[in-house]
Amino acid sequence: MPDNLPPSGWGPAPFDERDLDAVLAGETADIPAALRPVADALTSLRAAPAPAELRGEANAMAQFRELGQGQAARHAEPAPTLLLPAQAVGRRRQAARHRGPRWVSRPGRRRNGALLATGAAAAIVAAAVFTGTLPDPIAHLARTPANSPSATHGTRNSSSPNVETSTASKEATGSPSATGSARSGQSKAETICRTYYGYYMHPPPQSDLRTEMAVEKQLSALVGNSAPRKMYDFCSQFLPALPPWTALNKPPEPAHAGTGGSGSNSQGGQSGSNQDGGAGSNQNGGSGAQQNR
Amino acid sequence: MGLVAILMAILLRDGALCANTQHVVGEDFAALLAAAQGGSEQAFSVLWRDANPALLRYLRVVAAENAEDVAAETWVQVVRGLPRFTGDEAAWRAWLFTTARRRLLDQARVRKRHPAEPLDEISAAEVPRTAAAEQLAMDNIATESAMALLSRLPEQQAEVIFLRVVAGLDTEVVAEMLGRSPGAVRVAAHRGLKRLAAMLSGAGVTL
Repeated sequence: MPDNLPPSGWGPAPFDERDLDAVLAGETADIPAALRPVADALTSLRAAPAPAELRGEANAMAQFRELGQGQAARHAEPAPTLLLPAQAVGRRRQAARHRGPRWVSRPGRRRNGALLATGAAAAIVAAAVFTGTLPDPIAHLARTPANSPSATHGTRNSSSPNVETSTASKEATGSPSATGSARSGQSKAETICRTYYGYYMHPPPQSDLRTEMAVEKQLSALVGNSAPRKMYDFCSQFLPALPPWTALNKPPEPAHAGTGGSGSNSQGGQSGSNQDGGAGSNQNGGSGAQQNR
Repeated sequence: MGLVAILMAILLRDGALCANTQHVVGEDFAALLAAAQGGSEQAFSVLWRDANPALLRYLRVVAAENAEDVAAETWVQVVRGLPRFTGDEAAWRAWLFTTARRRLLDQARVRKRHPAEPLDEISAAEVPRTAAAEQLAMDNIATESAMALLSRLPEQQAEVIFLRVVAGLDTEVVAEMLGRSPGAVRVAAHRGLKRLAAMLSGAGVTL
């Protein structure tokens, strides 16, 4: 044997990466001879299965029957709700009956439910009172205690017109507390109207004339107009028991007739008919109301 | 084409049942899968016969001692997920082998936590040898020899070659299964083939 032969594996590789890829892909037609044994080994790996390799088929089929068919039946068509078996319905009813006593036998849940119901009812009533959606008699009952301090306040501060004016401006803002402001302003306006027409219907002694004039100023400021008819229209919405405008302005009866009363009454009647009259006629009307007494 | 005709065509293809472990079903896979999903045992049988030999061979190389158990668990899981599976035959095989690999990892974890007692006290002569092992050796000596040859490869190289050749998966799919890059998978496969070539030619090449 000559000693100049290269050792085994010496020299360029007999195959390249493309040949290896071809062997992996099973394309063994044009591969180098050095890869032929490898290709044969891989081909034998893909050979037909031995019977032992198919022995577990029975078990697999049994599992398929158990698991697969049930799933297939569930996925095939949704069971119609109306065709539920009667037994299942009965079972459901039994379960409900079983749950019932457990629910009833807990007194704490009852108490909680009662507390919840009471709280909800109170909240509804409070909201209804606050928004004014209750019927008139109930609303009146509900409003009276809440408004009495402000009514007293309005009467007490009748000499300070700024308070009412600021409330009226709050009404127009439409802020989140606009409803409360509107209600307090409304009650104050009602108080002023009641006071004003109280003076009008039942004339006070002479010493209260200044207070009466202050109330009239407040009312005219609220109305935005000092015309008697305007003030009457404004106050009639708060005082439903107010006599009609014509009855208020009819000539005074002889028993109440004072000095020069008819003249002033006629002025009041003119100012009343001049509903859209100017400032002068309004001022006359206002003074006419004072002179009526 | 009706299901029966599809089944007959598949069973009689090349004159043998499952003549090759790769892409036996072919174009009829969609109809077969739909039938199996609908509950057809015959259709599922064809799918099982198509895939189980390759699955077993793969498992015997990567987990020789419990290949049958892992294969059975894999099929249980596949049967459970079969109604929801969508895809072609390549996706089906990828799903099957991915499931098998996960079951394998689960078993390895369980075995790590609860190690089995070694059979030290039993001599090799007393260890029961299953008839299946003998039959396998007798029936398919070439296949067994090739599997024995591949078992001598490093585990990752053997696994890559098996998944590429026996399972018929693309490099990208194998890379996804193994959590490696396609380039790394390709290099591993090439190195394994070179090592196989060296082993078969009798030259001791170290890669």
